Amino acid sequence: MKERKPHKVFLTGPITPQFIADSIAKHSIKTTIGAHDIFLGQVRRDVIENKAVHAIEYSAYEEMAEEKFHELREAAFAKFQLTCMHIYHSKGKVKAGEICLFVFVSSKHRSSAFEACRWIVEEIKNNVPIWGKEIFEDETYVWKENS
Amino acid sequence: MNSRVRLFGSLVEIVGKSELNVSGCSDTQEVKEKLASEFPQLRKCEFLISVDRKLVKNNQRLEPGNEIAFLPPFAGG
Repeated sequence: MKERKPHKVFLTGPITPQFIADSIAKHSIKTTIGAHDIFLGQVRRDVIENKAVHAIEYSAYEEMAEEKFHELREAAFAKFQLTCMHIYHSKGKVKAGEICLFVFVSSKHRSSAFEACRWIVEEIKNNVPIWGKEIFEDETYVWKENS
Repeated sequence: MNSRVRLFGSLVEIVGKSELNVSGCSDTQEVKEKLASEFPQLRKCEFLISVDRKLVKNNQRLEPGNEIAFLPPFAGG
């Protein structure tokens, strides 16, 4: 199997709609692609003990996370018929309503893209060392737990 | 043997720093016990241990230069 070079995954702050649009536009030259699937994780304004979440501050064990993302990429290409895939995750502060995770997979036909996208998101949630502080308006916080 | 231990997420607040050195431990269980006796609140915390960025399933013998990390439950996405 061809060894792919590790990609940079972490972006500081929110992932902007413009960045996502530009990523889509870059694929117009790849004309073997017939299907894209995109997952966008957005910071929810959860209410915890009567206080609303204002932002999440993400941190990671970056060296290990980058290795995990690389392994995940290799596994996804081995498991699904993909033409390309991109993963971006925020680090630092992301406000409620902003995007913190962008998974973008492309394939010849839709079924591979659908299946791969869901699989990748679940793998990220379960196996990549990333943590989030849910910060309230009054600057107090709790540590986020994945459901 | 000195071992470098990195801490993440909520564990940084319990220990008061994100990195420390532990001496005289030959495996990950000893490191865990040593830190838990120094910071008893760690006993109430759920966390995994990695050595050189690989998760440890049970107990692992340590070699000089290993990087140990205590990782609370992941919460990405």
